[in-house]
Amino acid sequence: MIPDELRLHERHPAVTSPVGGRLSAPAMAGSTSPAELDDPTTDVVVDEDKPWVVIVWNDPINLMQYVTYVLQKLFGFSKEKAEQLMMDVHLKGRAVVSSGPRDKAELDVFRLHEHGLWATMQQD
Amino acid sequence: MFFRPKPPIRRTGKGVAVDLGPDERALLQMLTTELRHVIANDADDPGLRRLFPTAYVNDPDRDAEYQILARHELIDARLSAIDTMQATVGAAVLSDDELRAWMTTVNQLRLVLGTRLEISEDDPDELDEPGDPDDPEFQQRLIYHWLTGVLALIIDASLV
Repeated sequence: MIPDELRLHERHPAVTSPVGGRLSAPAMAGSTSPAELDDPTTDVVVDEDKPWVVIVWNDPINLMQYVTYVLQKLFGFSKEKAEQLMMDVHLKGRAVVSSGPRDKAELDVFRLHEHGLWATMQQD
Repeated sequence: MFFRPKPPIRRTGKGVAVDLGPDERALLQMLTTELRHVIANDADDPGLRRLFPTAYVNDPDRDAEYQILARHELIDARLSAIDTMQATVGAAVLSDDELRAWMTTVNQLRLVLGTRLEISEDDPDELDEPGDPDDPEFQQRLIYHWLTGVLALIIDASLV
């Protein structure tokens, strides 16, 4: 009756641990300095402090009710909020579904990819 | 009161009941076997591109890095879901974890088949007309729309 078990599994980064150590729990908590994560020589023009946004794009295959379900499940949105974002994706072609440090954004993108949604990330 | 048939996939007190027929189960077995083979052996097949999307649109270097890190995890997760679905394809009752594996697997099948059929915004969500049996893609289109129905049933039976 209560989906806590599923939800915890989905939402706990340490459990899913999808793409190696970079998305580990400490990084998610925002305590890791960007300097530890990136080679400074390749990132001279990128301001790591600027927040990243995660965008879900419209695609003609994923079902509207599936997109709504995934957004509810992964981000804990209410059904109304998830439906509103899904309609933005459907009608405007895209919607921002989360934002934050790069590690968090990349984990969210990964979880969306895992569920077959077309998600990308960029700095705001 | 009108008689309303029970949905063939539905939540009950004892888990999620699945009333699919033997032909439908055999079709799911066949489709997932084919999908498993392609993902395990040829994940670079362009027909699978919707299963492994780009993360960084304007940054090829970072995207390459993401793909290196994420790709194997995605492949493992997809194969694991397929394995769970295949192990339970004949089951009368599914647990929530098994239902979740069915959901992601049926969605994978739709993504791959829809890519192959070049489904666009102009294609209807449901087949209103039987379609043209002489169309070489007729059968695949029927399967695609049948999978749409199966996925909708799974979502309806799922807890958020």
